Amino acid sequence: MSPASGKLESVVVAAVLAIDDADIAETISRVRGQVYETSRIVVVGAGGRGRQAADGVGVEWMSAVPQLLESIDGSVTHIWFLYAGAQPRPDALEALVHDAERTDAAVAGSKLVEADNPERLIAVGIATDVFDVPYLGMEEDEIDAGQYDVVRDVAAVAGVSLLIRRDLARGVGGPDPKLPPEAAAIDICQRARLRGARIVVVPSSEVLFHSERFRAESWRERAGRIRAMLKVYSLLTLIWAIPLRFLIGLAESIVSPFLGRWVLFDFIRAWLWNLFMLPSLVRERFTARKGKVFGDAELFRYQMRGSARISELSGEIGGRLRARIDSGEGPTIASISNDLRQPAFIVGVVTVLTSLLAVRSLWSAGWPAVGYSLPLSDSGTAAVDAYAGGWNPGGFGSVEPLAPLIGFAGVVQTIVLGSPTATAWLLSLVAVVAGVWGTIRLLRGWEIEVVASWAAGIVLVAGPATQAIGDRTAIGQLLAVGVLPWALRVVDSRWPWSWLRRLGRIAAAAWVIGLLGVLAPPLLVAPVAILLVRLVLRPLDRATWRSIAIAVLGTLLALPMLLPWLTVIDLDAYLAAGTEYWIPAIIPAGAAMVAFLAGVISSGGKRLDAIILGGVLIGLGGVAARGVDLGLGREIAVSGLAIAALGSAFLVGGVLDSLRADDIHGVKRIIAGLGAMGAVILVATSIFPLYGGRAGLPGDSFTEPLRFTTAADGEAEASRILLVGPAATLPGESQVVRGAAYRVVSAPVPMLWEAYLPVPSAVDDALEAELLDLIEGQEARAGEALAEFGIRWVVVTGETPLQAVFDGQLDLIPLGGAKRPTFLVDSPTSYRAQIGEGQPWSRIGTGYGGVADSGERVLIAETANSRWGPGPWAQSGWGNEVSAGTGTVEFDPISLRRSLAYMAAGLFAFLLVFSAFARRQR
Amino acid sequence: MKRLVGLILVAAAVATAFVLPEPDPDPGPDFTGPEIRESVAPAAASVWYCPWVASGALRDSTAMLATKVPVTAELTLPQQIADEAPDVGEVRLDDAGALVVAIGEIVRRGDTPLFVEFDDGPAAAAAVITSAELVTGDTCVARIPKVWELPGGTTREGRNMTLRLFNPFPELAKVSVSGASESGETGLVDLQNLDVEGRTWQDVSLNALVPLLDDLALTVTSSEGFVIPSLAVGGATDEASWPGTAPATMWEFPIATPRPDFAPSLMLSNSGSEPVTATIDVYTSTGATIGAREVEVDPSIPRRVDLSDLVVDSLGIRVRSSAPLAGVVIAEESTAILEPTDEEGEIEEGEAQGDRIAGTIGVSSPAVEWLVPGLQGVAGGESTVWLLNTGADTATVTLQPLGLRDLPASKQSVMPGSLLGVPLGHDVAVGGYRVESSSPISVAWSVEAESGIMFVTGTVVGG
Repeated sequence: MSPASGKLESVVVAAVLAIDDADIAETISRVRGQVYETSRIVVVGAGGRGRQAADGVGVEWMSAVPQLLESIDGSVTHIWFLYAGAQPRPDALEALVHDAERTDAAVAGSKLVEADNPERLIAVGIATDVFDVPYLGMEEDEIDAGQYDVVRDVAAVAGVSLLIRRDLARGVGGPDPKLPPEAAAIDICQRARLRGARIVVVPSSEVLFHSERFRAESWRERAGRIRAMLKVYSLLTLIWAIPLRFLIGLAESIVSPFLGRWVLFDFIRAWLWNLFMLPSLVRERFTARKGKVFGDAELFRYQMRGSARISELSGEIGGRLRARIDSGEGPTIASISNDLRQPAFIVGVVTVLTSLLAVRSLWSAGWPAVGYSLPLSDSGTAAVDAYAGGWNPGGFGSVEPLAPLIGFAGVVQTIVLGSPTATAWLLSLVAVVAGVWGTIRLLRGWEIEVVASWAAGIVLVAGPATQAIGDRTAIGQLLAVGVLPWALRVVDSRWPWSWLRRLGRIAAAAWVIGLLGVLAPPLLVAPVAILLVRLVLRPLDRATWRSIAIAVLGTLLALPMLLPWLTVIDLDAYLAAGTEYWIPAIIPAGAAMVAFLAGVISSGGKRLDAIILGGVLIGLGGVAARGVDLGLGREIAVSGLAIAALGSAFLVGGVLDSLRADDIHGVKRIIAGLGAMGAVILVATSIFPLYGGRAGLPGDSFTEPLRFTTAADGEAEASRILLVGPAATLPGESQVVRGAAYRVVSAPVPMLWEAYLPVPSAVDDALEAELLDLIEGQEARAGEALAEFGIRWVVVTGETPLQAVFDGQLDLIPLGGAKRPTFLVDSPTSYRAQIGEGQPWSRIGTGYGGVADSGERVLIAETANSRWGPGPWAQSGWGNEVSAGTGTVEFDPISLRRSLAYMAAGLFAFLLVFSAFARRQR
Repeated sequence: MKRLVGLILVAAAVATAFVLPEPDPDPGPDFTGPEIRESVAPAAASVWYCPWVASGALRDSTAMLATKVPVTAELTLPQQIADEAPDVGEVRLDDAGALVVAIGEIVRRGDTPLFVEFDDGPAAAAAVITSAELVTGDTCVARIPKVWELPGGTTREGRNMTLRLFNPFPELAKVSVSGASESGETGLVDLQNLDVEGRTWQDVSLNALVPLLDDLALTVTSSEGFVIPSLAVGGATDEASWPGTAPATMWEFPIATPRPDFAPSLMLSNSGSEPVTATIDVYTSTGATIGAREVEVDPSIPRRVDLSDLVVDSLGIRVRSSAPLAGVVIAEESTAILEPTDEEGEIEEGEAQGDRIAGTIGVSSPAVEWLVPGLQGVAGGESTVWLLNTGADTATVTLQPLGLRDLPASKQSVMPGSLLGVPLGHDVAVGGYRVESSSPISVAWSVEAESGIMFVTGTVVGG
């Protein structure tokens, strides 16, 4: 074969990619009909089916592209890749070859038009964002009026019709066989560009294609784009691109359901696939970047700014809003009523925006350091290790297990590449969105309409009871509030017919209840308890009995998810520890009472059930939240607040929904109106706290006042801070000496895993004895005494007589510039771990690191435990002494606990995947 | 029915929640700051603050250390300029039990208040200043209250009164000084909110601020940080110095005067709001005069009680009061000259006016064991230990010399209601005494030299 015109010297092989069930014969026929003849036509892929199709039209077949590249000799100048089903116009190849030669482009692509309506454009080259998400830049159903008919450089061309120079195709190793077609096209274009190749779109080369097959948003395409991104960029770019890509995907997963799509599982699968494909990715990345001519900047030149996905989503949302606004209807009572009856979309948007607003401050700062709310540790893996049988860094350390929340947050933090602030923001955002959304879904199941359900959701996540949780800085319960409605919904939804789906439902109940328990262990029993209350109201309701059975099964299955914490904790002590007492504000309490009484009088049916259940839950939650006298500790009290919050939501949902009831007349209508006023007051008192931006948590008390420690010589992390002041001004749990509270924390700021103190040990006794000596005036060198405990600073957080005690010490130097009265320990040995006298070791996770010296011993000011190593270990007073030989010292984790933790995580993952799988089965 | 059940359930739950009581409020700390120990020598590490110390061209100081157990003592002498590193000396008292440390061997730069840290106890310290013209000193203090009482001052003609505010701590101290004289409250506006930088001191001359007051009692209050105050009252040559004290309802002063040449006075001040009646019992070697004087001390008016007319020989006193009072005894060389000094058989005024003066704080409760650092260790003077037994039983007292050599103890009997002075002279091998008694007594000592006279209170050995 030879070029038709005889002027062109390029020799082209056409490779038809049998990517799906599309008609190969039609494409082969079109290729054969090209005015610029190909030297060879090969069908690639699709196994036996592809071979059969190739045989049917009398062309060669090859199993994969690499095999094709191997078979092509040096006489061939270009390869023309076509999707099966593509219908190139007769001059398509000629135009491609001509303009590619003319512009010296190594890769050229065709203009794609709709096969059924060739006037409609599909794509003229592809722009991508930095995350390799394609952006076509066209309106829907845009007509081809020649507006794009100019040969131009683009980020990538569609794989439907792509011409590539043979030498380049072989040089870059051809398309990545692990990628789906579109991602593969973007990938090969990017790799080609790194090698200095020019990539153009040739609009005069037209190919007809079916638009529904173009840009299929499968999880494979998503995964492929991530892989393409990971292959080409430098590490510096990837450091910011990966977390951003993850967060954008997550945001899309959250928003998409409001646009009628469900992409969460695709999102998860895409990342998991890449994780699984990591070894091949490393190889491919090495090949792609080997011999590169340009850097990332050259790729950026042809990419759009920002995120294509975000632009697309915002465009879609804007479009829908415009459609509503431009409908020509005035704001009539009828249209408002219509909106209120079917406002799912607006409610969704408002929920997302409100949620984003509610957690906006957490994006930059994470959870504030105040009370029991403390920032996450710098390393997610360290938190997981500490939870899974590792060292509990609270106070002077212990082998007591950390709360499951620490392990869970550590896993999430690891997934979001270790960012503590992003983790806090994400968890809080998801909790708020999930709380509102879950309430809507739950109450919709009880036939309560969406606006009332939304208002109920707002009361759940920000109502008076939830505000009380926030005031008490109980992060676990604050997050658990977002899970509570889901835990009820999953056990209370319609029982499926298929056994697989039933098992899936139980699995879903288990992991949702398990998540609830992980966040706030006392709430593990909440779904069963709430359903039992409902059973009292509806004792003959079979559905409630079944829901209880599912909840019980789910709870039992969820129990192992709390391992190893559950096996080690002293449950009685845990449930009785701390004191909290809820005094609700009068206005919301009065409003709730009015709403309840009015609702009970005026409502009926499922609304009445919701109102009564809400009232009972508020009452029972109140008992738990005020039950100090009953021996109920802080965890129970705050969990009681979560139950009261859920009850408030039910109450508000039921009462507000009563307004649309047709069967309420006369006096009852007036009473219903009164009830609605009460409910509206509850909603109003809920909305404003949301705008604080910290998900209901108070402002930070410690980060700034303790920041001065980072300006000290050496690493602040190598020492501790002794905080003294009223207990309410100290982080987490505190200790007391003669009625005065104090707390030892890590510098520069205490972390969440330090919020709870282990049972006092010898080191705590020793510190208390020192403080007693100071109070009794028997010690005048507090600095020397405190240095032994690794304490380098004493900070006064509020009114306390201990300040006067520290004033009268000979070796505590007051720091004038500090935000709080502060003393510096005048000692060279105030370190948590050191060799000799005052040679500190750095803190790494829960261990320490320094210069290896086999002749030295490291003194570790942590509670003595023989698992500290490397050995030989020796107890030094209340502390530890180990070898400095390896340059690191750490706690040898308790293997049984570690195994249990991994088993718990495995069970959680299994139940999650199984429930998702079962749900998708018919 | 459902409504009824629901209402009952909700009412029950809400009522239960409503009646649950609020937990009792946290009682809070049971202390307001570092507890103010009496200046006793505890069986533990301790710090002793000695404000009135000087070692320069004219004056020499010695730190007198005495201990019951082997200890290491670190002597720290801060600089008067803030943030300057202090001079530090360290001595070991293994078996010696007492040591006289010449401050000039550590540093010689004039005024040098110091503090002594013992790493174990019981141990105690006193500080003595000597020169060709004076001998003065008193026990060091271990307590650091926020409020100090300093009675016994005067700015009358011929007397100089200096208040030293010593801040041995790193923290800046904000101090206010108020005064009370025979005219009532005395305005000391210049001494309000006085900053005393950490690890420095300030000397305040009261004569310049409030001249010609016969009696002046001071109260030093720290609003921030702490200071250790000391008062020095002197004439042209000798001076007396004593640390601050705290009010109490009972004081014993084992030595008010060693002999009639020195006119004793008791200075009492009342920082309360109501007048306080004080009964003064007088003790001599021959017996006691219970209720020898009864005086009323008005608030804000210090009371000087002249005891000269009661002196036969040496004199010790006890003060009992209806409310806490602060007290100091002062002995000033008597103006009563028995022999004419000029040719006409008259007494010349200049000759008649003796200038030696001594003063000390009292003991608020008798004890059976005492450390007396410095006793018999002051060169150039004759030391006497004064044992006051205000109890009803005869006290058998063991005087154990402490120092460079193992010296035998001596035993003394102190009759009930009597004062016993035991002259000990000076011995370079002795740096102090440990005094043990079969029943509670009070112990002080004095040094008399040609250049001056000094009273020093002993230190009770605590638990």
